[in-house]
Amino acid sequence: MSELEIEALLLSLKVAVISTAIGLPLAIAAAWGLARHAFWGKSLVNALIHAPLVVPPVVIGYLLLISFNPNAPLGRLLDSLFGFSFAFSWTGAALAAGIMGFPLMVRAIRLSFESGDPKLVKAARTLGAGPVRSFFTISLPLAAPGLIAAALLGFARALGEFGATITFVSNIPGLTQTLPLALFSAVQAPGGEDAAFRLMMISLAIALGALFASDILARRVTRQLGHLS
Amino acid sequence: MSAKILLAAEIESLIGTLHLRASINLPAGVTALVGPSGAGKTSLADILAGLQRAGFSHIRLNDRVLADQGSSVMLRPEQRRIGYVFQDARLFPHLSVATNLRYGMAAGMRRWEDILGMLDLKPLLERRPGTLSGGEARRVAIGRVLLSEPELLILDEPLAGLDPARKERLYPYLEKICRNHKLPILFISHQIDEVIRLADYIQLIENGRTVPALPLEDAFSHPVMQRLIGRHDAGAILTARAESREDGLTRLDFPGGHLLTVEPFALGQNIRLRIQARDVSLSRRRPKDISILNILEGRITSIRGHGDEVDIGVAVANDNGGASNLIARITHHSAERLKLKPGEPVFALIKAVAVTRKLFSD
Repeated sequence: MSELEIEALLLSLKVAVISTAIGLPLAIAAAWGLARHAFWGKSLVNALIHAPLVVPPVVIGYLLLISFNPNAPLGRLLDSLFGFSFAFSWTGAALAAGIMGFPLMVRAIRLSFESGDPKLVKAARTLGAGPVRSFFTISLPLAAPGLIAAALLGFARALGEFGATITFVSNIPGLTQTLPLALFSAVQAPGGEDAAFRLMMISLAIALGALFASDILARRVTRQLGHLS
Repeated sequence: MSAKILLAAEIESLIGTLHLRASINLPAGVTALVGPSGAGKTSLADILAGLQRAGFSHIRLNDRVLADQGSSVMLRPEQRRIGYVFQDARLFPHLSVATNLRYGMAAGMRRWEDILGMLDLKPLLERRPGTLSGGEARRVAIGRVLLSEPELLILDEPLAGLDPARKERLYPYLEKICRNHKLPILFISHQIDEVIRLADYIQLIENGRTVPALPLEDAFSHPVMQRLIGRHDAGAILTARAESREDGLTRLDFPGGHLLTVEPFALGQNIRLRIQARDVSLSRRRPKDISILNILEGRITSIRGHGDEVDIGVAVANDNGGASNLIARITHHSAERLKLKPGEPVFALIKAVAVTRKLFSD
């Protein structure tokens, strides 16, 4: 493997792990709000969260580009406040990947919350647990299979993210060139077949490995929850 | 009820098509909330526990106001200290029995050993709720609630859905809970046998309306109760005490008289007897040369006809000033022939073998 391919691999892992790790708690909050609460503007929030599922990724990437480029108001604000920029950096790739994977994570967790039994929460409340304690000790642990599924979906989606990433942060080797972008470049380049094959195998291995690991984890958790004897 | 009222609640709420208008006053001891299904029993319990909103509610438990629209007090369920044993146990499936028991445990709880021993929970501590039988799960649910040191205990059909053998095994635990705790217990049930065994008072509810709570013995002559029990099983409740035993017969003293039975009750034991109306016959004169051992002198208090059959209420009294009510079911034909009228003296005849173990002990 060339140095560039290793860089692409490490960058992809970083982008996928970070975007999933930051996206998951936000997805939990969004899923809880959508599953168990009624509030004004709920359908609008729901539509916004799910937009990346139906809007072409290139459109999302372009939207991010015109919002966060160093000359856009949002980009300028971030720069002046924190000296931080998403533009042409791996953080931008993580943002794009996180947004594209977010609706998948929210859906998986929401389903889990909705299939949870509100009667158990009521029992916890009469035993003296407030809403926060009952959420963290009852609702959230019981939604663990959904959380695992969500993490896998978010991770896999981030790993495969292409359109929004290339539009937003471009395809800069060593900087924003993730595995799919490196694979795309290798296919385009004359004589890049060997590199393309290696990158394909790496991508396959990571994705299948993640699927396998989450399956094992989900099975263990399900047993812990007492659904299986 | 003359005992000190520990829970006082006035509740009014529209639940679907049911207009709930309830007034509940509970002393220490077991009050059975009895009514047909759909009468609002569980809604009432949920409102007391703060799990369901009511149009109007004023609830006071001991010295604390839990809910009062006037001063807009509305404590959340976790602030009410109302222990709720749900019909379906509701153990947390991802936690061990021990962790379930500790979930709501009151700070400084000293009765861990005591409560675990009383409910025989020690062998179950390491188990997962999914591996427990129905009866075991209910025992854990009861223990979990007791460990939270509630000021009011709600038992929602704690025996429902268990097969008769499991039910019989759970009874002694419930009896212990009901005897050993000085708190008010609201026991929701529509099984009359359970109520007779466990309850001290009956709080009747029908179509969302409550009637003032009655001592167990008095409740059984209430029309709502009679409708619930059904014509076939109508009868009276006597609280008696096993006084002596002779010739294979136990003498049970109750206010207003005594009965002989073949059941070998322990002497000194308090017993609740259910004397079914169809086991009681009536006679104008004291019969002689008859196999029936229990002949009680009384006076007719009521006559209620149901087609070919008539239920005759009889108050039996003795010189000690005690009195109890019995119900006798006889045919319309016999009632005419004996010319029975309210206020007239009569003898109630009960076979010793009809006085059976429908009871609990103190």
